[in-house]
Amino acid sequence: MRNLLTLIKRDLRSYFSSMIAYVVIMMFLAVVGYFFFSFTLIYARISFHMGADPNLAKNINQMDTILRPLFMNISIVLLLLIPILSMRSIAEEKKQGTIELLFTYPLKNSEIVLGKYLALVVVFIIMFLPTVVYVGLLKLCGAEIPLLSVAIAYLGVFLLGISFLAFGVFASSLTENQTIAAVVSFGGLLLFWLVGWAGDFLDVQWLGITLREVSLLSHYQNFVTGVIDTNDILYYVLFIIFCLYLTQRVVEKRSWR
Amino acid sequence: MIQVNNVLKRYKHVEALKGISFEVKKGEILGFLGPNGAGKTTLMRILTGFFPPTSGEVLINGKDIEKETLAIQRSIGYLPENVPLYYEMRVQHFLQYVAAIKGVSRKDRPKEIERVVRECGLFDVERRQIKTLSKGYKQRVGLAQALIGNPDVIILDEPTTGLDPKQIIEIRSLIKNMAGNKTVILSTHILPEVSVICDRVIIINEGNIVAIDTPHNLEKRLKQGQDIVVLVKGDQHKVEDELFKIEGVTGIVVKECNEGVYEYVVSSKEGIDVRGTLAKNVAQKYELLELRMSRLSLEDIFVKLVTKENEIQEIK
Repeated sequence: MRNLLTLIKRDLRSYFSSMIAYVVIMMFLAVVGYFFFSFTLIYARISFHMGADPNLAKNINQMDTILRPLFMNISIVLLLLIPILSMRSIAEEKKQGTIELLFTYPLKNSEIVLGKYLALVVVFIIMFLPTVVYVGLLKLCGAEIPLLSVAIAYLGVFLLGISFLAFGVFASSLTENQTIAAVVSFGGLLLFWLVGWAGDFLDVQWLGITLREVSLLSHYQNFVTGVIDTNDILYYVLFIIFCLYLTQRVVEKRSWR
Repeated sequence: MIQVNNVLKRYKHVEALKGISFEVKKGEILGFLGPNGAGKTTLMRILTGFFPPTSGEVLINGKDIEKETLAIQRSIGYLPENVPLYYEMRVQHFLQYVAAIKGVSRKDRPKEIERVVRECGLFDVERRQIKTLSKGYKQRVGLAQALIGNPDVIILDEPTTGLDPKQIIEIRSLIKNMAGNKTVILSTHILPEVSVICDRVIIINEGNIVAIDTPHNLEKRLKQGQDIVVLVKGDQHKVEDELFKIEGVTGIVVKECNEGVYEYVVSSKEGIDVRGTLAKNVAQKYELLELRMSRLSLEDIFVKLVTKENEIQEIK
């Protein structure tokens, strides 16, 4: 446990002294901030027109028009940015040769992999936590927001983000080239994202269902609509464990040079 | 202290180590010598628990490296080739991190870091980012991280490569100072280094041990016959005749040095010292400028051993 904390601390120090964390966090907040601004603007326009008719006005609320679309868009931004955040994780250690130090210090392989992963999880939390401000802003303006639904959506973002990271760490363990790591993790995640699409049109039913169940997107949608299902949570947990297990196997093999 | 039994390492297509065995005593400085690609780094990586051997066993303090990797790694300090370091970190942060990883208690850490900083002469650069340091300082930081936690065994992969002569001397004296308390294993392809630092040498070539001995004995053992180098001013042929008259002389190789001055490398039968007669006879008629024993340098021995090995393989 103490080793894990030491490893996490070192990685965090490196992420924050090399600018990469700042840049990714800044871009994330800038893009998400712009989405928030746009959706609020759309909401203002719609409510202005629909407000005249009490029947229509019943059907619009801030949760559905601003926050839900925002959360859906956050997932896309994460899909683009997380591979960039995670690409250096293990690839950089291989490139610099410092992984040889790690392997000869009294550390277990599992500690190395978990340390690398959890450091990224911390950066990710620091990255998306400021978005709570948007919810606070809406609240401040007197919006009626079901806080439980928002919390569930946040849980969804969290699970989705750390799943992306787990896959990113795996991609990063495969190569010493950061660009390759980023491309592999982006391509892989995109596939996992879209794999459900074909599922709806397949004649073979079991395959269709499997594809839909494997998709990262379908499980995320439930969280955003405010539904919490152990199935979805289990899916992400298994996805993470599977990716980290693969990473551990790659690391164990010491298969480079 | 360290026992290596029949260690073999096979990569996909090549056998990097072909079953080697040796022992290292406590407090000894042992040198691995061999051309690039001989298997030095592979051997060191096995000793440090980086990866296991394909077969064979390594015992350090009686513990098997494969079964008790973590326990053994706690008693080993390792400086890999090319000195990998976290360049974006400051020296002090890096050393704190290493101390924590190696299990130095929070209480003892400042003292331990102060010790290695003093030993490696890092006072002036403690606060600097590692990437801004000169090659020599980087090497010292690498050495410092190996020394943290006061391990019994220090393993250094080519610790002086790429340094300037002054830095090389500094690093060497640092290593020499460790002798006695710590068991040091270092690899190099710079030959004089071995005779300067090491108590014993293991020469490795193509995954096999070619020779294990003290640098001194290696030189002695490989000196074939006794060659004497004589520098004489005077007619080449007459001097040659004169030299051949001496009892025990078996061969002469001549090389012109200056005008009228020739260098004769005189070989003689084993057990007969021809120096006395040679000096007397030559000095009577000619100007004898120099007379010395030719010593094989480690370099010659190395070349001899390695080429011999190659020849054997060709015959096979």
